[in-house]
Amino acid sequence: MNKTRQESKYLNLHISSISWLFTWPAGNDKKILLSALTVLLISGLNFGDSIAQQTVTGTVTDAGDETTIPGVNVIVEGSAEATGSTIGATTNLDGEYSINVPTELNTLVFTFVGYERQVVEIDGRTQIDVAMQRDVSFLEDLVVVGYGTERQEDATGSVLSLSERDFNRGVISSPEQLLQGRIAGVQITSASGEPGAGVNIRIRGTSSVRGGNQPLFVVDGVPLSGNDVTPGSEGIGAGSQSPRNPLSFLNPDDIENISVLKDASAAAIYGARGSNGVVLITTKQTTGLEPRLTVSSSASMSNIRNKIDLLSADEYVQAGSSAGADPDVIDFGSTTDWQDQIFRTAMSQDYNISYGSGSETGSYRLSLGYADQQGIIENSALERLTARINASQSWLDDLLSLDLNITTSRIHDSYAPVGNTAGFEGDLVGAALQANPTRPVFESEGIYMQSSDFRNPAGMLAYIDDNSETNRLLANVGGTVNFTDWLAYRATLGYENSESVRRMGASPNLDFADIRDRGGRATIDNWYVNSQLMEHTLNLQQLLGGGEIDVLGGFSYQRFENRSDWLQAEFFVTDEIPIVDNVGGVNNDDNKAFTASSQRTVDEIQSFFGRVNYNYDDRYLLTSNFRVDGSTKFGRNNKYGYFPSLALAWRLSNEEFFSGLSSTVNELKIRGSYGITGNQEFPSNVSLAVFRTNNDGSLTQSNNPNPDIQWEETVQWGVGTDFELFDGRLGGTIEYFNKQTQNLIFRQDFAQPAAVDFQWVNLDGTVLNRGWEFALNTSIVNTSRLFWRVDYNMSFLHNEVKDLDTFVNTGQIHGQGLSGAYAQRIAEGQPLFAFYMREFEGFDENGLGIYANNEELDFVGDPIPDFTLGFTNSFAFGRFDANVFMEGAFGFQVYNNTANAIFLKGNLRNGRNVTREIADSPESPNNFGEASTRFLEDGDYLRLANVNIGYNVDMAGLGLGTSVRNVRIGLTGQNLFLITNYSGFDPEVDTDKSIDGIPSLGIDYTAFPRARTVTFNIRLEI
Amino acid sequence: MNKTSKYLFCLMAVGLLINGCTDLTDQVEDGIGREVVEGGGVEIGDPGAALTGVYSQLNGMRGAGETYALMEHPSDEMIGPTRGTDWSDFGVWRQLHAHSWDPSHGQVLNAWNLLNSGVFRATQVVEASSASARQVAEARFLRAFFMFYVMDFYGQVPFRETDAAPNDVPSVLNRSEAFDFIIDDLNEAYPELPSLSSGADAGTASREAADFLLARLYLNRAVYTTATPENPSAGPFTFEDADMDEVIARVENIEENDYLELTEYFDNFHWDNTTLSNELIFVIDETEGSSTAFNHFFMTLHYNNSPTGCCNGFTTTAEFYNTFTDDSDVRKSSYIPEMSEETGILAGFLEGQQYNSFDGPDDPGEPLNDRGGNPLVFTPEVDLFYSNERMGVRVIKYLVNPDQPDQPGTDFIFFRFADALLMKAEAHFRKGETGDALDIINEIRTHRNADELGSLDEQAILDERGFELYWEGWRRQDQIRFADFTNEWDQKPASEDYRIIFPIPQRALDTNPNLIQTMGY
Repeated sequence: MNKTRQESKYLNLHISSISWLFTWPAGNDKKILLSALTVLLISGLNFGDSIAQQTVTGTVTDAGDETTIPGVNVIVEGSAEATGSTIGATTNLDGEYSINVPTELNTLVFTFVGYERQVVEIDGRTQIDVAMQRDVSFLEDLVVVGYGTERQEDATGSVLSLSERDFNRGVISSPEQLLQGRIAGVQITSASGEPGAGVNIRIRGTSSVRGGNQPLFVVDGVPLSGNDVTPGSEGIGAGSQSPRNPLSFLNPDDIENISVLKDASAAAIYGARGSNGVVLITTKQTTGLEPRLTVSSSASMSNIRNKIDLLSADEYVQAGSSAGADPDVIDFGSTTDWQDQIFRTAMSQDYNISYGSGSETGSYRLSLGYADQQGIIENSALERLTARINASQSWLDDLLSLDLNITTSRIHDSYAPVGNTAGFEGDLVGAALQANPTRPVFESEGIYMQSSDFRNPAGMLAYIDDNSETNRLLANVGGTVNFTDWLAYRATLGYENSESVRRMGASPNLDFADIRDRGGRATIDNWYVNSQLMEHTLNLQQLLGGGEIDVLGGFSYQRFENRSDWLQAEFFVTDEIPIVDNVGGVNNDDNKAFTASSQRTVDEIQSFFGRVNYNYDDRYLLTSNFRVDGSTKFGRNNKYGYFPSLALAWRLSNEEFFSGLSSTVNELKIRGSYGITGNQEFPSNVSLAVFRTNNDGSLTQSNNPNPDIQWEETVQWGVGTDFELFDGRLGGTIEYFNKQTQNLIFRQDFAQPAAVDFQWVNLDGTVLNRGWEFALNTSIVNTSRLFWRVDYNMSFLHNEVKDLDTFVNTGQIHGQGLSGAYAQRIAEGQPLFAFYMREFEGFDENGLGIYANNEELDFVGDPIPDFTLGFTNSFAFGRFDANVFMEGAFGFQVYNNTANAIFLKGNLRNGRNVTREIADSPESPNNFGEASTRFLEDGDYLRLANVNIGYNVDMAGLGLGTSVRNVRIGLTGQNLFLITNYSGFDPEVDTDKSIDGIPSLGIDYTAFPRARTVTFNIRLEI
Repeated sequence: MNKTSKYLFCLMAVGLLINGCTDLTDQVEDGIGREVVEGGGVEIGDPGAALTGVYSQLNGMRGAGETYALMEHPSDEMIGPTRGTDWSDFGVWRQLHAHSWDPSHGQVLNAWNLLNSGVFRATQVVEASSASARQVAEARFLRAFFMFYVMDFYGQVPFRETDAAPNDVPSVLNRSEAFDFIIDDLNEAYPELPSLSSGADAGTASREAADFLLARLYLNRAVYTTATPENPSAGPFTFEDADMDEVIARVENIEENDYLELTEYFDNFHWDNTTLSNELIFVIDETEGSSTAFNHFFMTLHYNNSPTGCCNGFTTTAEFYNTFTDDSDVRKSSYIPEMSEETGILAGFLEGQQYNSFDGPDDPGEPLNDRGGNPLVFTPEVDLFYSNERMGVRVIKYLVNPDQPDQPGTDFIFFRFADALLMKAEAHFRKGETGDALDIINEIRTHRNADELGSLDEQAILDERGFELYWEGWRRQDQIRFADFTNEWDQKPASEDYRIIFPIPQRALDTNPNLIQTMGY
């Protein structure tokens, strides 16, 4: 039985962390990790006692750069059979080892993850120095899976694991950004370029219409509630604003590894929450016997990549008068670049310090992080302070061990009034794009020029004060009892708590009618999110019928509580006192100055789950998961859902008949899986008739109950192959998957008369996602001087709605004259969120729009890319390393609502600016901007997303000794260039344009532009 | 997993650590959660608060869209022209005015949902076991009110008993069944309803409100019995004397209340109309600081009209405006010192150059420009598709409260005394009692400072209703009753007969197979 695997699971050593050690540049810290690990692994073993022995010593070095390697395992082959226990040792920090070898044994085996296994005959020597070859095999990684880890080579399902060396770098506000573009089949799109903006992750497509589409996030074993934790808002003049990303509380610097469970066989262990895939985040542990200290700091500079090409003041007056405006009236005499008024060069900084230490039985790591990220729009920022403690300890010869992870964070978000649903006056970005460039910023000293038909962007920035603070705690403690070497029990308690308050104040000086006439407005919005988790698992590992069997059984209970309190005050007596700090300072006698509300929900999930892994001779592999999930959300008649999965794999390369090929094909595995997962992301309490009181003294029924409501179900099958050729020079994975989502959670129309016009139901119909995923890794040059590796991934996705006997519109279009307009329809035979609109054919001789098919609306495209790719080149030469990452998406459309609302010839006549292109177009000022393909653009893009250059300072060479392990200096560029024909700021955009909560996709409405960022970074390890 | 093994497993879990199994009961923390009982049905808790909820449902009717849009835009007195980049709005306004709406029209659906939810909420109170007789009576009146509009707009009325199982498909009343149902509700409610004694009372159901609605029902009865979804005829209609007698009797009931009398015209629409007007019969009662009638001036005024800065939308048609030939009529245009001085806005119809203030009726302040710098001169001509910012005569019915333009506190009027008198006049006229009709109309005209009429014909009655009641939500019904609705008029071609009934919204048809689509759609 493979001792390493067994031990590692029980000791919770986060063995996954070693997965990235296998390649260059194996820094010393990484090696220390291994030595600690090895010590732990071997600590339970007996060394030989009364047998005749010889002592062998030596030094282990890297065959490439000839540096010594600490932490190498040295094992005497055959010792277990001869003495009843394995005899082994590890190299110390200087790469030296010493081992007592029974005289009848003659073979030492050196192993170290990331290097090729080396077998050396002793032949009477007492000094054996070994130079180890780097192993460029790509399949030896250990990956974190639900409730455990497994070797990548044993994987039967589709699991991908990324660790620090693969992560995106630079200004990173949340963990998903670390992965963006790096994994086939995982599309990560941030809604905008705002610091901490919400991020959409779609693992193998979008499968749900109304249920959530985000994967389940599990941090150190604790599934997060998935709710937003900071309030969005009805921003002043900006329409609704999306909440920021709830995951930004995790300090990216604390993250060791992220595993993505893509298919049902891997995700079914998470049952009713597994449909959208599962993202497992593992945080760093200290791995070494010595105290460690790491300090890093970075400074970044960001700016806007491209401004929109608007008319200058002179051009504007000319174009305006030819569109029918009186030049004397529209010319205010100034020249203002309004884009410059809102965009800035943003400076960001980031500091991290961590220290920790380990012993043979335990370790701890403490870290503190501080990040201050400015957005490229004035007033927008994210400031984060995080602290983390990770510790583990074992007692009684590993009979009992405990591990503990606590992280706490405080995030201060500052907001600019940029939103999703602004009307024709525009949010901050819309106002800046359409503002008359002849208007001055100030009317007179300190007084912003404002009027009822002109929103002054600078005034908006000055008069709106909008901030939130979020305190979040995530803690888990786990205990493991190893009853025997084949049976272990583990209990986990998890606790998550978030308290967030957003305070927004709009000064009465702001010349928006509803603000000015009502004496300003302040809102205070408190959100509380809390969850508690309790889990028990039993794990059994045994040899059975010539193979290994690994059985896991468990029970899990999790409770979620969400609450919020909201207060709004208006009619302030004075604005000399900041109104958000003085919400009592209102005239409540003459007005209804206060409005308030609060809300609370509690949900529980109770689950039973199990897994069987069977490995026959490393040739035939089987994994079967089963989970039963019960949820308070489910209707009385469907309380429990059942989620099974089965996966099989065959490692052909380990077959006898394959031996002739094995010099060329080092590894070849084919695998197939089938499973059912669920999605329970729909509102609480929909199974009951709910009556609520309203602030006019009334009591009304707020829903139509559905006692049959249940989870959405995804049936997924897939096949794949993993291969490795030419001594690991070329490796890769090819996969096909087919996902059918049924029982669609839907807010369906409900027959009137009724309390409300909808009911939450499980709708007949299927959302199909199927596609291919390719990942290729090649090591082009692998010498001691130069290392060059290329990683390439690409995914093809087909998404289609089937058997749906209704349709629903979404993608609300905002702007002047666009009330009621929508751009998307979810319907049978189309991709989800298919664009549905008039087909624009150009202008007639009068400059009026011509539309095909008698102005009938039709399906004209979709926002889901057919094809996405990620392409990484990694280099190491001497002490330099570099990493160049490009990503792209192709075969999709973006709807440019910004252009639809703002860039029309008629707006020139209305005293507003437009693009040069529109000013020169044959459009008539009388033309109205129907939502049509005129504003639907191809979104295809290729982005140079991330470039890193690093230099590891030779401390010894500089005469600074070896007390400092490593100093690394790095330079990172993000979003350096973008190739696209899209005319807006960025085609990677997703403004929330939902209608009645039906999400939209791929619509751009005055979205916060994505920044181009350069970061200088220095990292010191002691 | 069977129960035994589940509990065994739980027991083991409990033995090992602290927690037990939960029975996963769904609990509502911030509301009242009720399980649907076997066979369907949910009992509402507090009938008083639930009744308030039925009244709240009226609030949906005071905006510029939904029911109000259906009442006004398809008539000749309102048009929502597209003005360049403004007001295209997916064609909803153009379709309403040009009678080219279809079953997917947003406002047709919104009005359906609004009205039918009102019916449902009212039924919940009517059937609540703990409701008082008065509460039931008010709820019956409100149910009749909402159902009246469902019947009037759509020609059929779905009905759901409160004890129906959640997914039961509602039954459907045809037009005459619905008519009888409404009459029954009103008659049942009548004895338990109070009588009006002040404008403040008009916010709740009263006998006068019930009389008014009954009068309206009988006045329109010929339409409802003749035009059905199966056979939507656009008239002319034959009015039964018995129905007209019922109209006259009901209005006479109203007139018996000494509190009700004709009031200074624009006092009815003043922000303090609760106290200034003696014409209010059924309204949404509002006080200053709450948000109501502002939509009705926001939707029409130009951006540069002070102080609202909104929305430059709906106007009247040149054709309708030109029927208003009597310039002395206060209803056509009035100077309202407390409003006009500060805002430059007059009451009634706004034509010609606009100003930022009026120190006296003939003493305007600064002339206003449009956004492109042209003088802001409102002209009667308007083009449904391609208007500029200045086209169309604007209409100020509800007065602009200069202190609180967006929360004027004006009571929003559904039923008004002058309308009752005009119904009575029309009933007399339809019975051939033209002299009685002329007396009533001249009484009103005199009160409005308009010349008395010497004679009366159908057109004169329709015109008079236009002069008195423009933009109050009755024009569509009136034009239908006078068989004028499908004729050609300003910016509208002649339309098909079936346009006198709105289509059943497609989404409603999809959810209830008992509904039938009106012939023609």
